[in-house]
Amino acid sequence: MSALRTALKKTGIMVACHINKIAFVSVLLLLMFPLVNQSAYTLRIATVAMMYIMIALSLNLLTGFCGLMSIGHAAFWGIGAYTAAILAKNLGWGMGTCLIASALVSGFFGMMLGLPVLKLKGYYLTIVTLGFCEIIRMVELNWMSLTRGPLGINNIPYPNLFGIVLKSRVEIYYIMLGLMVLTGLVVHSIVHSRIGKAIVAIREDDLAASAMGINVTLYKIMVFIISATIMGVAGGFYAHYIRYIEPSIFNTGTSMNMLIMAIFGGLGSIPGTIIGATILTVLPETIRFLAEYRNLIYGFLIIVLMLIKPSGVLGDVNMEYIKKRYYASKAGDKG
Amino acid sequence: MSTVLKVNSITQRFGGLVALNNINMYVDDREIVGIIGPNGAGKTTLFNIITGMYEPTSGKVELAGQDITGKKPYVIAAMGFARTFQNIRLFGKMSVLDNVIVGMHTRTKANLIDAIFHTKRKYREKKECEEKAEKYLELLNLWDLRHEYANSLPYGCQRRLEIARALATEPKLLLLDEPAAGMNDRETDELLEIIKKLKEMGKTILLIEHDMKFVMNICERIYVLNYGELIAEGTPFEVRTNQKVIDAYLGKEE
Repeated sequence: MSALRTALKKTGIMVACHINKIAFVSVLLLLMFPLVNQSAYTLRIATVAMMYIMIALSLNLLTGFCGLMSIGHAAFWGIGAYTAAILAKNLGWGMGTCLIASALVSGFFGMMLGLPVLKLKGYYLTIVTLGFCEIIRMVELNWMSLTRGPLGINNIPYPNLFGIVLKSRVEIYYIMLGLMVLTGLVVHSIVHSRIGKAIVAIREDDLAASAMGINVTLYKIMVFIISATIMGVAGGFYAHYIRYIEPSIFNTGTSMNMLIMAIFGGLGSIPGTIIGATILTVLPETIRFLAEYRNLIYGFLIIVLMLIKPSGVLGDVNMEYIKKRYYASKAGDKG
Repeated sequence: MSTVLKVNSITQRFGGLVALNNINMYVDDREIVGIIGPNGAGKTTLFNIITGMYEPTSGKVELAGQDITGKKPYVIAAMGFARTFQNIRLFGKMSVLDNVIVGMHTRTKANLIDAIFHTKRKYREKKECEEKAEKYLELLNLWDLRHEYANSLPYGCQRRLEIARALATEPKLLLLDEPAAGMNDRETDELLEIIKKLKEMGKTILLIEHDMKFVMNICERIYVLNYGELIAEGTPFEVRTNQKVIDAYLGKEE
């Protein structure tokens, strides 16, 4: 047992020291993936998994790093999806402009919700996000002239990037890969900056953070807007990809699933989020042969993980600190 | 000598309870001033008012001549008051070094754009912050522990880290709320040495403390609170021999 622990610790240090290289190689492999595998099924799973990674990263920024739990984030995803769908279908906008519009509209809703609500703490905020999700779903369901209500919006045009219509699965895969990498870089940069430290400080103790000169409400709103913006882009992509959206996709159940991905992988860990979202998207597909037992296994897995490791796969692992500790101890040995 | 903190007839009521009644006090630049008093005397309430956590019922708080009454805590922190907490409030899941770097928040400027586009300013600030933070940690004998989680530190070290974090805000006045509470003798002596060092560096400190020996040793002036009233002020010797103080602490003979 102790041998296993030492081995695990050594691997951990190695991974932590080379995490940038590992990320780089992973992206390279993902770039080459469609060259090796052209199957519609696997490409679809990969694309969806990457979209969920993007979503889970956005949620983790909010919940994992800033400590604000939202169980209504599918609403922002839906706002992004509807924005892109309506603009693409009714006005014929290209994908690029649609995604930017999705980001702006979703971010705007994030701000409108965040401004009055983010003075609330803990559970109260969570409840408000739940209500928000339901309100947005109701609007989507009943604003017939804009959203076609329960009929949903179908025949959303194929993604159109700078006048080129992208119909192939591979092209869409690459767009998603690009969006995911961009999200990863943005979230990573924010977390490892002055702002990121302030955000984590707010999670740890908001009173002490304000005593250190941090404008707690401002940062909470900022994080909420960023998170909503990312969700909006993911929604815009989803509308273009699935080409049919209807209100029930964006309900609280979906919000829960998204949150579970972030918690499963580990709140406050970017690599953890990626692992969590990947496992929870790919696993249900690989055990499809179990038919009705599939959801049972899915639930069972989550319960088991929460029992063995409540903090999620990588929730209590801070790669940056492991790396720094390792280099400090190495420098100490020499000096 | 300029006055850093001036408290003008502060009164604080919580419902029917008068927590503080007409308190006047001041702290001059480079002074070390103590506030003592029995439990429930209103010491921490006074701290909370000075640092903006409470808004007083009436009265005024001035920072170097500027009225700061009713301003938000983060504004006051940026203007130059830094505090520690009676019940330690560190950022537990951040490293010791990062705790101190958070303290420099108001002295740094890198914004969202700098963060996302990795500008030169971001790297320059980051380097400066780390160097400065390490200096503060050396001063408080915490350098060896700089990469550990704050909540994994022994109690005495956590108390010192709170001081390091407050110092990192480069305050005009450092407010310490019972810095020696719960410390053993060795830890208290170490803390005493540190505060003496801070005094030599020309820092201005206002501290609340229960440990009489500690206060008498380090403070130049002392205010004594009892049931929300200021009952005495003066040098340690004056306070020690003040009959009202002796009564408050030891009880009056009937």
